[in-house]
Amino acid sequence: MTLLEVTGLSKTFRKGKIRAVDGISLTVQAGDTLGLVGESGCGKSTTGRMLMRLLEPSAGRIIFDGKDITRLGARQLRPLRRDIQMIFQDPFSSLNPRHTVGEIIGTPLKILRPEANVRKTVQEILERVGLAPEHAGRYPHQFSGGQAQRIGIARALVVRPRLIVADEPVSALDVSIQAQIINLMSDLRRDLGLSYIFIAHDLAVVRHVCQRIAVMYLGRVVEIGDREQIYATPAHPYTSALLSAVPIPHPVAERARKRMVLQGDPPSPANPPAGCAFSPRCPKAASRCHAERPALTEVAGRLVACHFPETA
Amino acid sequence: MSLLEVSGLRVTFPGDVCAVDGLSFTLERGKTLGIVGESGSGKSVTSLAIMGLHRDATVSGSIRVDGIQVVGAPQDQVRRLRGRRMAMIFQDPLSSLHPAYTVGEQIAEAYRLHFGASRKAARVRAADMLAQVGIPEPRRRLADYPHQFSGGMRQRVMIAMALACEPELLIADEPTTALDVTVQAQILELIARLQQEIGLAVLMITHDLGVVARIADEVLIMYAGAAAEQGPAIPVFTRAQHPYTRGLLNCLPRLDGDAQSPLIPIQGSPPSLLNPPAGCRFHPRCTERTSELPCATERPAWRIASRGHHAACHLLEANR
Repeated sequence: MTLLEVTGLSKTFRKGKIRAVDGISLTVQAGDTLGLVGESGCGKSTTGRMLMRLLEPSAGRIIFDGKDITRLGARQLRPLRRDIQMIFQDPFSSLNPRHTVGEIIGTPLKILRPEANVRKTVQEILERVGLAPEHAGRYPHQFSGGQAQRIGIARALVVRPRLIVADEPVSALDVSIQAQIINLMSDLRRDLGLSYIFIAHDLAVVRHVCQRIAVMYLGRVVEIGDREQIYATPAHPYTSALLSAVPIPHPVAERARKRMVLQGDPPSPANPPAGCAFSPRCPKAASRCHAERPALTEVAGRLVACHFPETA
Repeated sequence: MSLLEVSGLRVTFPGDVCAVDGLSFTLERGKTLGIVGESGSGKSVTSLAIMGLHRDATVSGSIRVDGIQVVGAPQDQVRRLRGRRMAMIFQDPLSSLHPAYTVGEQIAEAYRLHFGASRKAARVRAADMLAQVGIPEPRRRLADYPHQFSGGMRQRVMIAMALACEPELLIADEPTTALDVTVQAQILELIARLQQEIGLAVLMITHDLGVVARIADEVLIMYAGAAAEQGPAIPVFTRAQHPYTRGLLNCLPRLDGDAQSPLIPIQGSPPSLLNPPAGCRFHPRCTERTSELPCATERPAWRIASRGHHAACHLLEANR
């Protein structure tokens, strides 16, 4: 079942001068995990915020569970908040320091699921995310970063959402804590039948969490497909370059790798290159690439926006 | 004599917080030592101690840079080393560059100070340095301010500034953490190239085991202010002796690992330095501790696993 369907979604800033997100289309099936990956400025977080309707889309359509939610007003959005929740990167700045954990988790519950028994539900969800019921009386500063992220997850889950948009949920955490949170999110997805949109820059993390991956570059999706396709046989040169840039924590394997080091920086959305946005940095670019923007087309079972995709 | 010799380093902050407790290591000329640890492990505190940059902390033990003692040395003596013999780059280049001075002025400043060079000579040097770190149109860019550069270019400016006086030791504290992966790859390649060209020794401080696997000759794993394991990169990664090192390697999502099976996390969180656990500081989180060993009561001593490869774990002694 298609839970979320996005078509031609765009976001422009400064009266259209900056195209942060430029006509992206995605679908998320119920129970699926879609990874949105890319470097800073590629539009992945802006996309996440539009899906949450925290930012107004400039164009395009967002269909959630068969219903067009692109232009819903504040009052109509309420029931949607039950269905879609968000987890943020910095657990401390997303938790009110003056509220107890019980209040932080209980507030959305009271507003969105008034029928629930607040005390009991909060205690249950705390245990579900690996905290103790007595933690409800404490304040955020009394927790470590990993525990604070568990509180953020509990707050999102307490209203029983169907889709969670997680924006870099583990990148502020120490490596030994990252694995705990990744495993928790995987368990919760399996047990509660959740779907995730997992926004991250770390391709190794995304590989562990997501079944489908969309690679973004300068506001557009350049490749989208299943995990095995994207990681084992990337078709877009940018996907290959990203994967090649991630170091493997094994000195022998890492030093034996053939590396593709891109020149230059990602371009600015205020001044996008003509043709394919990746062409100025692309080792395979030909004259056609500088002139004509490639459309997303199917190549070996996934969609790729490249004139010369890798087909091996 | 090694270029950098640290022995019995102890750094204590007011309120009796011991951030580094008895750390010893050496770094040879032209080599790269990767110091790996999580937040609060003491890795950055160690680098600031080497640079003589602690104000409020009490530093004891010994830090010798090319034989010259830094601990307890008068400020003017440390100042002659800093920038000239050893230099440092930081995680966030924007907050370590002065926003109101051109990058040309900032690169030239240390060169004029240490070599007594004229403004003109220092300007030429600054342009050379920008060219060396791969910034296009170096002469024109001297007059630009830090905000006019991208994140990766700013880190190149920092490296140019650090290397302007031809130091023998570069301390790089998470130099690529704030950068995108494709830009990180460029900066790591640049550091490796400069190292070959000028025989620089690099102390790379990072939380990223992948970065260390790529560039380090030697690895030092820190946990809660002390060394857990140290040795040449290949044995540390392939025959890790300390349960913490093994735990770190197991819990890491990696591109060449099994994507389907769950990760094996290290339970719990790193301890507070205000009240560190007795015995081995890792024992509350260690899955391999046993009641037959004094894990909870005695600090483990440094044991040799193989030539140059050491770990501080009671198991090593028991398995001997």
